[in-house]
Amino acid sequence: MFPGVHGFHWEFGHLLFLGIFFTVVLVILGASSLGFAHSIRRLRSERREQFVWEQQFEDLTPDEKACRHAMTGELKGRICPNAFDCNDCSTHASLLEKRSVEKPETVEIAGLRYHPQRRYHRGHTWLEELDDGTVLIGPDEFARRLIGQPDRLVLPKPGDRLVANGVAWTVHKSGADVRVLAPVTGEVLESGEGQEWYLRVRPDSPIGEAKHLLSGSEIGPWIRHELERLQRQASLSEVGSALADGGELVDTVSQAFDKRRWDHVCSSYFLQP
Amino acid sequence: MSSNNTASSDSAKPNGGAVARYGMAIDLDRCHGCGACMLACSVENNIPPLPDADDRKGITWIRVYKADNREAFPKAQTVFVPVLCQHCGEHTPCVHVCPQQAVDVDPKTGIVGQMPERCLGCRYCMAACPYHARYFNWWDPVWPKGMEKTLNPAVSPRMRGVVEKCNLCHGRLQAARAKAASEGRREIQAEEYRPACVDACPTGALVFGDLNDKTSKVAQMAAGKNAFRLLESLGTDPKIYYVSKRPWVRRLAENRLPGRKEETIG
Amino acid sequence: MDRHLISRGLDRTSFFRFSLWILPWLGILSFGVYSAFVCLWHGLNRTNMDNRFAFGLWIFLDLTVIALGAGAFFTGFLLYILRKKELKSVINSAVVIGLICYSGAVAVLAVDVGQPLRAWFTFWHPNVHSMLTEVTFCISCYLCVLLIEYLPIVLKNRKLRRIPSFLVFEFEMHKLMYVLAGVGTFLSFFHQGSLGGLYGVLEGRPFAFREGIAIWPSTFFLFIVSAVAAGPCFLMLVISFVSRVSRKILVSSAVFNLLGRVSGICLAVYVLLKAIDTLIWLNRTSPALGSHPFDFYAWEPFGSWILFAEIVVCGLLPAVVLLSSRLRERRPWLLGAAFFVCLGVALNRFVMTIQTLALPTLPFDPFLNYWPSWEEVGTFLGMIAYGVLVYSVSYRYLNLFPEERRVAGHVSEAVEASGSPLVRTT
Repeated sequence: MFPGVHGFHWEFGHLLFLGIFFTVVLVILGASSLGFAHSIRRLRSERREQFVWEQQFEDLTPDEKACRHAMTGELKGRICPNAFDCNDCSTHASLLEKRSVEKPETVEIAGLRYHPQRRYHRGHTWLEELDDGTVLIGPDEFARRLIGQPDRLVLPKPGDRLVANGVAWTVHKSGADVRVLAPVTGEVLESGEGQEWYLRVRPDSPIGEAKHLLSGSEIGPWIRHELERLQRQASLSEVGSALADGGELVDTVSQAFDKRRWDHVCSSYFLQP
Repeated sequence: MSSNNTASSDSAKPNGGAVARYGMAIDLDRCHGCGACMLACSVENNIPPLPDADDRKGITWIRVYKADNREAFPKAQTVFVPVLCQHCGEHTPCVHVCPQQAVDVDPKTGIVGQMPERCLGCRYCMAACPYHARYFNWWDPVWPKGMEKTLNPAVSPRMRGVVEKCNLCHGRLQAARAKAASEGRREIQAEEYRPACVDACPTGALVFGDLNDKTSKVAQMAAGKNAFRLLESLGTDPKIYYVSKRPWVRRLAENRLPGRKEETIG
Repeated sequence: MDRHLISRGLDRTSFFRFSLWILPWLGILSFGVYSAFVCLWHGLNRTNMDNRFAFGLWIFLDLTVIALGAGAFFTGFLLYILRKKELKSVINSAVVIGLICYSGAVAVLAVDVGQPLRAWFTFWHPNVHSMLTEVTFCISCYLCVLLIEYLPIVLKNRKLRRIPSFLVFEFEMHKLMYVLAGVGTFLSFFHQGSLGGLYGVLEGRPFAFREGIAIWPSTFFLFIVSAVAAGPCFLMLVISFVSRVSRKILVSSAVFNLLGRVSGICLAVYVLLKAIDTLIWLNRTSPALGSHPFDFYAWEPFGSWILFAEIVVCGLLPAVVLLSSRLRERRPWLLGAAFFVCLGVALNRFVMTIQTLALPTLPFDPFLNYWPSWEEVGTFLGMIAYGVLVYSVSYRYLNLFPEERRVAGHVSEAVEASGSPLVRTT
């Protein structure tokens, strides 16, 4: 190939052929290197965890991505385009203005109790602010009844860092590993095993700014939406409002599904693609 | 070895005799199929015994075919046709297709040389050659004990998995050149270089020489009216000429279905 | 048992039954590896190829699978360059099939050549006049492209995607996928063509030799078009087979419709070009080389029925079916036509390889027979088993059909009709 080889000399055919070949090789290597370099840059950037969450969000089903305003009926059939990050959403801002001031009250649906002073994350965790600025985090009623008695619970240790929409703790039940998402970014101060709350966390930024958490009159529609989804997944026919006549969600839900479906159900409600 | 790797170089052009075009003229009226040429070739070129080979897997750089005129007695006639690498000139099929340039046409001698050390064994050249002059080493070359004493030290044996073919006993050309150089000459004499098959032929049916040398016997035979080359219509310009006074033998030059009338085509 | 490796929501059979499916193929693969080893260790004398049949079963089947694997580049071209978004649901499958076909073909080639360790010679001493050099370069590059395209599919596995660097890398590579699709199309164009050019340049074999444009004989273009037509057909056949075995609808019928229509158009073009080429060959090219073309078909069993089968039965008829939107809607017609297209491509490669070599070139040459030996058949079966294994594993653990969940509709497990077990009435 190269002039060092005995008897070789360049012709136009060689230039053309080798020219094309090396161009192609460069394009392939270039594209791969570019992809690799971009990856490294993105991994090193501060928005890394946010990006990972956005990618995970992409792969959820449309049902799981329903906009909070679609569930309350303010909009019809909207799917969240921002990975549940309502902070920069103009639609959310404009709809908030239209809402009337509400009186906070406890919500109870199908035996599930939701407290007004708590804020809720779409991954079924609640968050309660304490006077000293720290927050308590725990699984909400839906999550409790869904999982029932966990086979194993793995909580983070004090000193560990939580990232919003990253993994907070892991629950094992009936062969499914459920990685529950954290509602805020912060440092774990205490883990409350055996109590209603699981973690006490010092958040990085004040909770008031966390617009992505649900509260107040949004809770009811949201839980109804989740219960309907669960009902649909468990039965052949679409019995949408069978809960209207008032029953309680049992805590042996895992027995209604075989191992395959149970795994899917858990991932579905805890927002794992 | 002075060889040029450019595939586009054709057979050497006549240049006051400085450039040779080595070829053969084979008199088919003299060949009686004894096969001495095949034997001499095997011995000269270190062809391994290949005990498991049949006629389709064996290595015979020169091979004598038998053909007949398809007539019944008493008009039945036979001809024996020794076929070796035709050392094509124009559009050498094997040179063009080898992906590694393991074949080349020597512009100084017109010999189509094969480099087994570079051959990958893809056998594309074997598919390309219409004369079936190329042979593949399906086995490792193994000589029974004692037979290695018969090996010719001037010719390197080939390994398994490469293609080989007649190179007009290039080793003998090298030897002739060495002898000429040792005597202070730059040119070799015609009788100093002859392939083994030519030497062995008892009837003198194989005639070898420089086709560019118009005084040589091979050139005269090739220019004669009874001379033909195999598959000339393919345009390969081979350097092996066949001579026969019998018209039906001359018709063997082209591959036609038996029974088809002779017609001018193309 | 391996549920955590399978994408959530996808119905895959139990690990035990999957192992039952895998085991026989592993057996065949082992047999194939053994056959290949025998050929590598003892030499190619173990095959039934000989000095006349320099190319045999392996080359014929390599050419066929490379043509069938053309679905990978063509689907990529349609999706990323022509932006036919529906093909998103099959592109992963197409890439896996392409990877299997090309890597399998290269593996069999490594056994087929006499000195596989000298493969790098082609890169160091390239003969730019030879079609085989072109094939070698292009296929090597294209195999790399396919591997790079397959990597993101692997990285999207449920367990692997949890690793942030894998997730990010997959995302970035996907953004650049159109570059790879473009390069893949360019490379495929050339190597599919050069595989045809291999035969078209053989002046010593008037049966195969064709005239063409510049240095490229007509077989160059014919092979490209036939590969482009056969690729989507093979893709459809594989997907239908997987659908049937797993009893799921994996892909919407609109996608099948599109693939069938595209294939039909390309096939119609191919039939036209092939007919023109055959006429030119019969009337001009072959006589110019001194042969009467129908002499070639005088040797049984390769009579002129082969020409008829190739152009009409496996070319024109499937083209008519695939172009008719009414017949395309009906799955048996669609798949039947697809099968004949693939068969036609195989027949075409067979004719070019085996028939070319069987035909005598010298008048004192007989017509020859060739039957592959068990080592040859074994090696090739091993390649098929390799393909089935790679595809099965990919199907189980990777998300080969992104639309699977949506298309199947989420039909849940049956629960006792007597009330929902979820709600307890107080």
